[in-house]
Amino acid sequence: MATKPYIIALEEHYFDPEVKRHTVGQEPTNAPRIVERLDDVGELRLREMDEAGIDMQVLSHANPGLQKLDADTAVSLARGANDRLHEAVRAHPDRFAAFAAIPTPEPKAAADELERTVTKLGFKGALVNGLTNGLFLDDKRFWPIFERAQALDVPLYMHPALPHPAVVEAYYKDYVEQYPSLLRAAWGFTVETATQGLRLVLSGVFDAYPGLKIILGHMGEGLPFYLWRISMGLARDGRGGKSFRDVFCEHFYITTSGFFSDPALLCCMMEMGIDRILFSVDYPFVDNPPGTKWTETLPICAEDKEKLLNGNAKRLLKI
Amino acid sequence: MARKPYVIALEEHYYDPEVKRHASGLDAIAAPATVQRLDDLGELRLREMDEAGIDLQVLSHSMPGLQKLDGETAVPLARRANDRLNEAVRAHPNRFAAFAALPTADPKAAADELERTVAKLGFKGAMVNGLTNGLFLDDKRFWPIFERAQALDVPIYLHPAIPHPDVIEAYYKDYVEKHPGILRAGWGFTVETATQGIRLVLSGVFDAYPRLKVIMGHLGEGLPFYLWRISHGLRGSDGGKSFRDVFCEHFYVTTSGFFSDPALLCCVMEMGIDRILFSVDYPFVDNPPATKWTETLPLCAEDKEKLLSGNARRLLKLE
Repeated sequence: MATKPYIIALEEHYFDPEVKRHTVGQEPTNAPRIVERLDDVGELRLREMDEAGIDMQVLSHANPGLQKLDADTAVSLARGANDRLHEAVRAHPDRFAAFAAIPTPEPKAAADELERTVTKLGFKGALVNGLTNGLFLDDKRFWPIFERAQALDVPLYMHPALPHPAVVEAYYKDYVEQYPSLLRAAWGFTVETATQGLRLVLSGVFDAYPGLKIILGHMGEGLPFYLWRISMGLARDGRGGKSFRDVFCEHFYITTSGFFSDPALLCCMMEMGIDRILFSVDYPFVDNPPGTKWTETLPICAEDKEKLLNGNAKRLLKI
Repeated sequence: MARKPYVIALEEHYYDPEVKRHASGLDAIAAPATVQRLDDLGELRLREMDEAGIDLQVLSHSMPGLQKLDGETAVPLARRANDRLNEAVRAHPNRFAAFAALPTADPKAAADELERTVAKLGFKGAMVNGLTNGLFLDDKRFWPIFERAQALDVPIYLHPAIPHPDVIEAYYKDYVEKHPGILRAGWGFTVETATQGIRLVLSGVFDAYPRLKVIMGHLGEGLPFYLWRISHGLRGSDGGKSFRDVFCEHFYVTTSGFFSDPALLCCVMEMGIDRILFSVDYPFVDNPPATKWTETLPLCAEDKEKLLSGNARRLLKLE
């Protein structure tokens, strides 16, 4: 019997009590079982990590975080929320690390908060939930955040949130009542966050900040599968230069959050290599045990499995 | 040296001279070399099939086909266009077969035209290009088409078109000028057509017509990759059959414009080889890279034969 591998999971969510009060009506779920777990950064969470063999969670605020607030509210909330998150990490420093919540409605302040949390509190980067009041993050007004992330050498995690209302109206509304998850994990999250990844590549932000690192959850929201087709589709535009594939595979990391599929993982490995794929669960929206159990039977060698479970995260997050 | 395999390609487009006159704006944009080939159903097309070793093309009208026309215009036009297409097939019956263009704006007439072209002209099914004047095809008013397709035992091929204008506005417009491919093969086609596939499953149309068969190009617009995540996202609200179950029972995918080993192998793992059919997407994509790609596929001879001709023969009942 091999010793249990060390396991880091990095798309693991919680609720800050004060941010939560300001986002009433936008909660990602009202299921009591999940809300109870989002509210907990202590005993219950640690017990469920232990039960599944997860050694460390990188904590991040559940969607929508600070992205749908006005600038003043977001800025004033960010500092307190990140300080409280830091307290939770300090209480269990060998079990928790943190991604900052940043007030993207005020990009300069978001960059400053990223710097404060990384340099003063030891945070590992930041997680952004969906559009910022309708704007994708590739909009030039947000580039100070990417500039600072590069300077600090920390990744930004692009997480979904409820899709743009115009897209909900055009694509999903007929089925929302019967299938509410069509807007979320089943499809709407995927489309919008993959679109965000694609737009980042097209924006040229990686030319401006060549050391920038982006993490996408849910197996890169499917972008690895499409690398051939997207690269071909955009090459027709005749702009020359780096292909979509080149930029994606140089700057993006992906996690397994909420997507425990062998065929999808193997496709991602073939397209990106194992060094850019990191284990995650998406707790508490997804339970821990199926996540770690899945990794036990993966058809990959011990060295690659170790990279997936902790080695890549240690390197990327400097843990 | 093995003999050249028999090769059938089934997402191969042309322009009807009269239907073409109705296309404008984004729908009419195509490079001159592409337009020349869309206009040709004779010498040039056959020569380029020969050069790449393609024995049979199943012809279909290029997007947007009849989907953006009102019923009054589309119904008589469909009849004339399909009759002309039948002439092209009759001129080279061992090189061409056909998918009908349907006047979906008038669903009952579309069902009748499907029956006429299949029963009288020997067409193999129909291709629908994107939304019908803003409506997805899962809308109940279109179900007479699916009912007839089941009765005739022919598949409906769901092909992309330029996406819904409200989605362009929300997701793509910032990049359309510099990267027009974002609306098309680069991304927008994929998102809308995959959404169409998901909506069909959610609509219950496969409960109503349990022998209905749907083809999606571009390796199923990525849906095979997502089967785990979509099924997981919809769990609990799917009333019995999982998304995976319905998809793998009713959908076929083609390789049109997507010659990627990792993506193909992912599809093989998820759906099995029996539901994957070779296609090129001529003339938007050249024939030779497609057939060349199949020469080096890591598949056994039996599976490769299914991909190149066997599955198409069975699905389309080709002699």
